[in-house]
Amino acid sequence: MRFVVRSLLQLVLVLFAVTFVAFGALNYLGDPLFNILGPIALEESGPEYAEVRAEARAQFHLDDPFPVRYGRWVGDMLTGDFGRSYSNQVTVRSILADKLPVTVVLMVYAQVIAIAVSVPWALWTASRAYRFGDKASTVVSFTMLGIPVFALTVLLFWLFAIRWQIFPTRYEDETIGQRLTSLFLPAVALATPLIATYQRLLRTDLISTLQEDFISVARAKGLPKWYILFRHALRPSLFSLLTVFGIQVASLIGGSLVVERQFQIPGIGFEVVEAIFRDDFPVVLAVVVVVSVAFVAVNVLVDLIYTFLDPRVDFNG
Amino acid sequence: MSEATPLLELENLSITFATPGGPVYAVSDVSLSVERGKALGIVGESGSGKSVTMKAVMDLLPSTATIGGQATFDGTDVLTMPSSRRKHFYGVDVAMVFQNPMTSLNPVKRIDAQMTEGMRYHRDLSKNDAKKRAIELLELVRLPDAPGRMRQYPHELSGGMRQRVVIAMALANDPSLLIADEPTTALDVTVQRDILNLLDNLRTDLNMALILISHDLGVVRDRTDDVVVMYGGRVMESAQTEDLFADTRHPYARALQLSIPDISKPRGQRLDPIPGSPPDLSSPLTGCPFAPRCTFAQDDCHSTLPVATPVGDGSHTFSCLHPLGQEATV
Repeated sequence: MRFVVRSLLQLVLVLFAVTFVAFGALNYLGDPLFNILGPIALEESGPEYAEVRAEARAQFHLDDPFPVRYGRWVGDMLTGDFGRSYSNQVTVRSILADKLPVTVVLMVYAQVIAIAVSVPWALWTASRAYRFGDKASTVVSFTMLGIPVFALTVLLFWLFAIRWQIFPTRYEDETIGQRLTSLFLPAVALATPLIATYQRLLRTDLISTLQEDFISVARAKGLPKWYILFRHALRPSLFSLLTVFGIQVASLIGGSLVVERQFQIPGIGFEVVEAIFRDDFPVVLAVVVVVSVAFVAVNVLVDLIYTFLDPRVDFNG
Repeated sequence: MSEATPLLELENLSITFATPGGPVYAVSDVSLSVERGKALGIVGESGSGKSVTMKAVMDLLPSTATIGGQATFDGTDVLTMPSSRRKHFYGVDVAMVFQNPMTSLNPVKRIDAQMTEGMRYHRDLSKNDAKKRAIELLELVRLPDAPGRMRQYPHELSGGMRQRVVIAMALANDPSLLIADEPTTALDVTVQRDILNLLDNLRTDLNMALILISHDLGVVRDRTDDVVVMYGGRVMESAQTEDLFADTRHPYARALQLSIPDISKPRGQRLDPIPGSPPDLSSPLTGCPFAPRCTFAQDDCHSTLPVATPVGDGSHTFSCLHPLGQEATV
């Protein structure tokens, strides 16, 4: 119970802090009126236009003081109303409903690839720590960390989509199969730095776990190497990996802004970049809220998994 | 020791560790043996090589270690055993109990899983049979409420209870040799004797050989048939336990005896500690390793390495140039 209360409180505080900063920052970033009314709104002078402008400002409450507007926005948001896009008057909710699932699939896809590759890789390197395979792996993983995602995207796209034509060049989602194949390259691009991060962390933790007495005990019991690695060493070594897994949700979303744009994937990352350029605050703010909720939710989940990984972790501690 | 073929016999075992600062000669020229059903004590202070020697037998040394000499278990050369023999050797023929019960159990696995995995792997027991046997073993080591403990995690048990679990685990596949490496050092004094007596009883009841490693000569005194006293990676003196106490030849073995607290001694009498600290093993020794701390050392002790010298029938040997005579013993 204490855990639930604490998590909810955490969510509220994070949401407040993030939206307050985002709302305030966007407020000083430019005049949304331009996007609501088009160029005539600003360039044409004359009483008839002034009236239109005043009407629009009133409709979107642009003249109210900052705290009032923030308060109104929070109130609407809590009832599930994120307002309408300044540029095309579509409700932000329908934009989210439309774009968010694509991005969620992409994020989950990237995390699944990252875990599926990094965990076996880390087990392999830790079991031969400081030998050739491990040292070579260090070079490979630092390379993976060093390549910028946008460059990797270009490389992957050119090789696998254009040159060898293994994967489609444009996003298709008629079937699940199409969705997974067309999201494969972007997911790999997003997963690459994660794979390297996870592999480094898990390898280090595994190496230190393998020094533990209970590993010697398991070896003295004559258990096979693979068994000791998987059934004794792996679980107590997953803590750093899990912690960073939760934190990486944020950087994945940052990465998706770039990757979705480069691959022309109609997800929320693509949408929010466009929205920023056209000063479409309601869309940007809604995405900020969604990202914050997702971030807090994933990290609450991570806390729950800690208790599963180690029975000594107190659920309500 | 006596004429019967030993169960485990080490001959001239040497262990060197490669370190960034050069080789460390952790164990040199150690020979010892234990017979079926008998108990051998290995005594020495930290760094004397007693644990490392047994870890070499258990194949628990890191890859930086180089092992020389021979180790034979029941006719099999342990150090060069084929993998088919190895597969069911550790945890079946030989089992080991470690010093610290607080860290010997995997903190994230329940007792039943840790108890049964060895039986299931080596003997292909079904889950249920293995659990039944696990409960029997836990009762054998007199763990209170054995069936109830099965679903618990190690942190829910006290140190003494955990050491009982570790011992029960080691007994899972009826080993003919149990190596106990300072099994009570990390435990409360009140629990220490219980665990030692338990090991002693189990050895007799299960007709299993026991190697009891300790830094305390008092611990092995009443519980072993033979004793090997090690110092600086070498065997100083090796004898049947009563002979070692009755007819001590090596000054180090003598010094160890004098540092045992004895409740029958008059109050206020001080223990005799051994001054100095163990030798640096990063260069090969030219003389007796104990010479710098030995009150009986003479000039040649620093330059001549003493060899094992037999007393009487040869079951008692010592490595000292200027041994204590009969008259010098207690």
